Amino acid sequence: MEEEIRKDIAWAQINRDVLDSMMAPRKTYWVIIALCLSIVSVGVYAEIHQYNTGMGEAQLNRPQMWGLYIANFIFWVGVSHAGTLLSAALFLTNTEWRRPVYRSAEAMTSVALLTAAIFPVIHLGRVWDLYWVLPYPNERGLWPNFRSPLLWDMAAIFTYLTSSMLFLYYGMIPDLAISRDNARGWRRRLYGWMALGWAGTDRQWRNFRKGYLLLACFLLPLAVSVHSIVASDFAMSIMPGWHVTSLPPYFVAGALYSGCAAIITLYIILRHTFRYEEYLTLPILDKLCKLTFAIAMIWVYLNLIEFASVWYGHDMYEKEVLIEKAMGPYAPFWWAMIILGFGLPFILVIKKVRRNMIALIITSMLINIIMWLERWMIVSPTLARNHEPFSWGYHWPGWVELSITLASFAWFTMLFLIFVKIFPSISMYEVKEMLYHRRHVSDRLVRDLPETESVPVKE
Amino acid sequence: MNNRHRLFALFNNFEEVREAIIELKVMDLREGGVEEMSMKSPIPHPDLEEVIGARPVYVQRYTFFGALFGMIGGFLLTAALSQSTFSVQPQGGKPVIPIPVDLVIMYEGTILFGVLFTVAGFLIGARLLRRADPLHSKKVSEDQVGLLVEVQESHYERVKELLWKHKAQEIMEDES
Repeated sequence: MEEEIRKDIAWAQINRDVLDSMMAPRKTYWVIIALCLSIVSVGVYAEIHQYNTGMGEAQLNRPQMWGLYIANFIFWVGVSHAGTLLSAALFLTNTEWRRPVYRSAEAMTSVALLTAAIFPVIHLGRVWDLYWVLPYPNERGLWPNFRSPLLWDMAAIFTYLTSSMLFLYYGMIPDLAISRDNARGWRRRLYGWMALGWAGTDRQWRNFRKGYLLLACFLLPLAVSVHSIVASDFAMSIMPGWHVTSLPPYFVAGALYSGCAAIITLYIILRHTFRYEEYLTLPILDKLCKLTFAIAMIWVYLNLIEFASVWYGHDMYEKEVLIEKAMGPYAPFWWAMIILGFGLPFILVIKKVRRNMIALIITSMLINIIMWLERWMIVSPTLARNHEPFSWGYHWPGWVELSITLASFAWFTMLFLIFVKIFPSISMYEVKEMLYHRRHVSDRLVRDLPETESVPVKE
Repeated sequence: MNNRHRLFALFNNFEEVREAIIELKVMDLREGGVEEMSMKSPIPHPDLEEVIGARPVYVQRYTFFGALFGMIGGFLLTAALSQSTFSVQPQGGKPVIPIPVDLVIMYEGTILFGVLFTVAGFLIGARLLRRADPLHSKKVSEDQVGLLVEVQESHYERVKELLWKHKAQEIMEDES
């Protein structure tokens, strides 16, 4: 197994490694970008078709008014969670291995939120009326009603997007200054403008540290609150299967589960395409896998208590939805979600898998497909079996919805890869700081070791 | 009037900077002459910052007032919009200002404005968005530590000598 980042690596070398890799990634990078671009084009075509033809193309009709678009929305909000939440939590607990990986995880958060933000707009149908949700004075008296969880949702996601992007940018300022000092042409202008005149003075570092700590303190509860509020879109209704107290923590655990799996996927892609083997090491990946396993077990537990509370609660409507999920037309998807969602994380327990890039990328992508299925299984079965039998009906996505869904995955990957090509995805100053402390702590330990008297060996 | 000189010395490591700062401080205590001292480094170094001396950080005050502003703003927004909706739709016995709703928006407002004000506080406190200092070296963003000293002309030569003595690799100057 590869060791941790070498202690004796020169600081100037760290700058060169990161900045050179940004300039010249492997060919795989361009292959993935081309593939993503072609899939996004299909999605754009599907959206144009839906725009011209109407929302009927997306199979949206009573009672299935939400369909795949809202399932996609909650899936992408979920994926966004792990990045900032883990970054803030690991920062507050002073976890060393966070340093090389947190930037890409935070970037994933912002990119996933930008992907999620597309779906309410697509689902709206009348895209041109989007501004109606904004609280602005107007002659029609159309004030948004903040009693609706949908408005809480908008407020929470807007706060999360703004705060996550600022958190990402804030942590990147010293690295932007490094990039400014080493770049040429448009990159130099861009980094120079974004570095805001950072010079690394002690005054700047003192303020930086304090501010970063405060931001991390805000981001941690914010991340938890956002997915709880998304869960409130469902839990605040009286629909069977949604009106459950444990739904918010269930959403948060599911979000972290899929988010951690997405971090593993992107970690492997980044490590390969940008030649970051020296910095994105296998021991870090190993820890990420263990973390994913632990979070998966929380998700499994929350699933089980949800089933138990529905089953023993004896509410006939709730029970009906659960039976419908297990035995109705959605059963293959639901069972796939349960069996694979419960079973796949156990693969991560095997040490050999945690060292095998191919096995890990397949497992992490499968976990995300399963978690996407889970989101669909939250939305559609409940709407299919609501309180009113006369309006029961199933939802099967057509080519338009599936194309747009697939395009969202490609869009997410493409945005992430563009970000890491333009901005340093490994925090250079934090890696230097980590190595500096590691070197000094080990030097100090060696220096401070008490001189032990040699014990004579008994003959 | 005594002219001031700004000297910017680059060192290979933090230990040398520490020694230089301590000696400069001793010299300043005995006979004055050092107006201002600061360090430019590729990574934060809280121990050395302490040696340089206390510089108060006020970011947390901005955070506090931002969070307070967001919390009150969140309440006012929901309360005001409830009132405006009230004039259009009869509420049927529901409270005009609903507290649970207020709490959610107040919570988000607290965090949003807390974050925004924290960033603003950092920009102001760190003195960013100002004209670039001519005494800057690319080497600081790589692996060298810079010590910026503002001295009176009377002590200029001695300080420069002291910096060389502590193995400064390069000294840049600026006269004001």
